[in-house]
Amino acid sequence: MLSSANIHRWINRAALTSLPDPISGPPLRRGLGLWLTTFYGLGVVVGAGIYVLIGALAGVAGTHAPVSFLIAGIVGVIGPNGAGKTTLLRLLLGLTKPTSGSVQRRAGLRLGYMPQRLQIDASMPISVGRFLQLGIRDVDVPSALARVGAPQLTSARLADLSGGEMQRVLLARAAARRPQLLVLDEPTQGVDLGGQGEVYQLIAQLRDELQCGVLLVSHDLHLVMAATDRVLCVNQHICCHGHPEQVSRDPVYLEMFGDKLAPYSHQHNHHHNISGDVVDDGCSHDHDHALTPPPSSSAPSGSRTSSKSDKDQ
Amino acid sequence: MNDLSFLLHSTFLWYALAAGLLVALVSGPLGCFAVWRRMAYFGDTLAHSALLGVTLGFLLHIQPTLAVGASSCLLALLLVYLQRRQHLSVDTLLGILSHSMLALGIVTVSLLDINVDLLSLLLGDLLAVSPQDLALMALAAAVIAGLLMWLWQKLLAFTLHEELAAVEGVPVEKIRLALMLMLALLIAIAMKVVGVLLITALLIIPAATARRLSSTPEQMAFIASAIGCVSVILGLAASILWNSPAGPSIVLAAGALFLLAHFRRQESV
Repeated sequence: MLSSANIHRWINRAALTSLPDPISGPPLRRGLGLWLTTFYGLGVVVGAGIYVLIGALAGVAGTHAPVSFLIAGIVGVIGPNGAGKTTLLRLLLGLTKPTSGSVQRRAGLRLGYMPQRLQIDASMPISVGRFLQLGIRDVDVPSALARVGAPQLTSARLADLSGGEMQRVLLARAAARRPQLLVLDEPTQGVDLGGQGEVYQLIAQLRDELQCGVLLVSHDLHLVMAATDRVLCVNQHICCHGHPEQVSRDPVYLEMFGDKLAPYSHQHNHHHNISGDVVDDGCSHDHDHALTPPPSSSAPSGSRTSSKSDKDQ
Repeated sequence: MNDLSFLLHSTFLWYALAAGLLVALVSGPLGCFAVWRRMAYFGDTLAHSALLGVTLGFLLHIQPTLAVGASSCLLALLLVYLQRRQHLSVDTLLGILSHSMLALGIVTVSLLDINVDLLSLLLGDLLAVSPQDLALMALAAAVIAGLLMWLWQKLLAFTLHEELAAVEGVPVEKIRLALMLMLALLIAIAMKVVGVLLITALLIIPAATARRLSSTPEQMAFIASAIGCVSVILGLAASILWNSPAGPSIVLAAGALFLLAHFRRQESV
């Protein structure tokens, strides 16, 4: 299970290693898995392993002020439609070629990919177990499915799965590759509200079990804010990034999502075990927060809540 | 009775049967992919270009099966290329190519005043299969079967989700190309059996029938092959007994089997 102490150990460890300049520095150092030099005029470096490291040229294209920052655990990419979230993801996966620049991956990097959805023709008679075996031949199907809480699906027909079951199966297939970097495209697409929280909990569980970096793209703002360790807000360029709470107070973010988020600001599926500032197992700093502030004001510190606290237990 | 024993001793019947079975065997698994990937129209397009292939073969003095094989392979390559470049949907693209090729074929035939037996081209000429035809067909079928067995897992992964397969290391573009070329080869050899008009039927109907009877992709492929073979035998028998055209009889038999399968309860996998 997720332990916030673990996350903070990762963050602290990551913080000790200074990142190379994403453009001029040596690309493949200290576990950097992917080196992407062009993304709408941005440089983005994503590494995998325990950390996902992202260095970016912040601000609009053209300013070229290199900013490096570290991300541990789950990185959520958010942004409006057409912001380039999916493009970023496809570039990293090698599904799209950059118009300029290049994407370099660490040799032998194991990627796990969970596509947005799987449209299967009803005429294809294939079982879930067989589907998993197509990804990895010697996969242990029952344990792969048990990991995502769906052991009963082994012999179910793939075409008969519900949306939520399908997402679990796709997650199981991605995880069964024992990836160093798990890439998820809208992991809660087509999942009902109750199931969404479960999917995010599963993702956090996988991160701890597989010790992998997770990069996920989602429209689901409040879930992303609640369930990720770092948020990357993009709109053609990287607008802001950081802890979810930090991002949720960023003026750029508020301008982009502020009014839409107001109604959601108190929908959290977690408990407040400590009201006010989060203090837990020896961490000296805040971690991710689910609460998004009203659009006009920055979040009052007294209302911070911990989204992780429920999962710690 | 004498007629029948005479027929059974004549080689053309056995050549016809062998040719039909060969095509049915490989069109089973390929037909499954055509059904799973909704490529029925693709088969039609390749078939429609066959007339052009035949005329070109006539002009260049190439054996018709070879000429059609080459021309539909070229068309398949063109399609793969266009799919990547064009922003038109695949069925629009196929419609354009399919009918342009057919029109081009017909115009060439009439302008060059080539003596092509259009009817046998459209409806097949199974009873006129020569040993040379049969050898070519066996070669093409062997190539298709070999490729299918070699690429089977990758073809399945590719069919389920192209991008997932790509991320997992399947060379997606090569697989797509291989599948199209296999279909092109099949069209070339099936033309002799059921004719240009009915090739898609031989591809789709056995696979669609097998769907109701199978619980794994492999099972579906095998059953589709078997159903194709039964259709060929039934169609040929009808053709001999009632002097009906062989190709359409085979397709009719396949259609009848499809209807029959509907009376069977669907298996829950």
